[in-house]
Amino acid sequence: MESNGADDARASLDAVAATRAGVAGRIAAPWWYHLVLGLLVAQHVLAQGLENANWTLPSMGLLLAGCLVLTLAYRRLAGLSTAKAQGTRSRNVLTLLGLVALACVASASLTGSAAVSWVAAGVVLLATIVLGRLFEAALRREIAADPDHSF
Amino acid sequence: MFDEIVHAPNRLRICAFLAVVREAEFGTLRDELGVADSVMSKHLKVLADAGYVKVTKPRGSGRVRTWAALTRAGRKAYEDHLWYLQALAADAARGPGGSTGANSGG
Repeated sequence: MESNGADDARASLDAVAATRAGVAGRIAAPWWYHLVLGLLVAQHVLAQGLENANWTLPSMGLLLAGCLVLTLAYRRLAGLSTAKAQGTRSRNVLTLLGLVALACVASASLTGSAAVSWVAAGVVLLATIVLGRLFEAALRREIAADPDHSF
Repeated sequence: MFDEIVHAPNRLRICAFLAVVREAEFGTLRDELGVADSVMSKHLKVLADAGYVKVTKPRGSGRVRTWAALTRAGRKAYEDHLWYLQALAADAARGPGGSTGANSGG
């Protein structure tokens, strides 16, 4: 290494940066991914507002099973599975999405009103689609970031 | 710290790829690096033998796919090596007298 020196180090760092940019370009969920995820969360929110409490467990089961199937489908299609939020922006977007989902579940559950539940389900569906795509965009930017600034 | 195993160009790129994902499929890695199957297999084997990469072939429906993931030791070796490269490049940019010690770590 010493014989090659700084030029070799710079070339290696450039190769790392190019690879990270390549990975970032591969992170693109199919168009239906966030829609299906949003529908899965929305049905769980809706179930909280229904008078029949027996829907809660089946809807939770559907949500968990659906998320598992979605994750496996994405992994198979993309040929990779992403680890987690890589930076502050993606972490913030993910936290915001979690808070919106919790607020929607809580509002439907606490009021027990069908009307409120429909509105909350619509909000969570929209939030999942919009914030899901924002999360993906943030993740792409963070992964493609210059490795010189990654630590 | 300089790592001979990680430093080879293709292996450095494999580590750089795996460092930002949980796991990647053999074909995805091969396509990203633009190398032949045999070349990819050889480098993955070196990394796996060093304990830097975990290779799995989950059995299921359809053809068997090979998946690779960076181990904890592999991530540490990659990050240390990247730090070494960054320090070396920074030293060179600063010129004589501004050493961070990367040149003495080889």
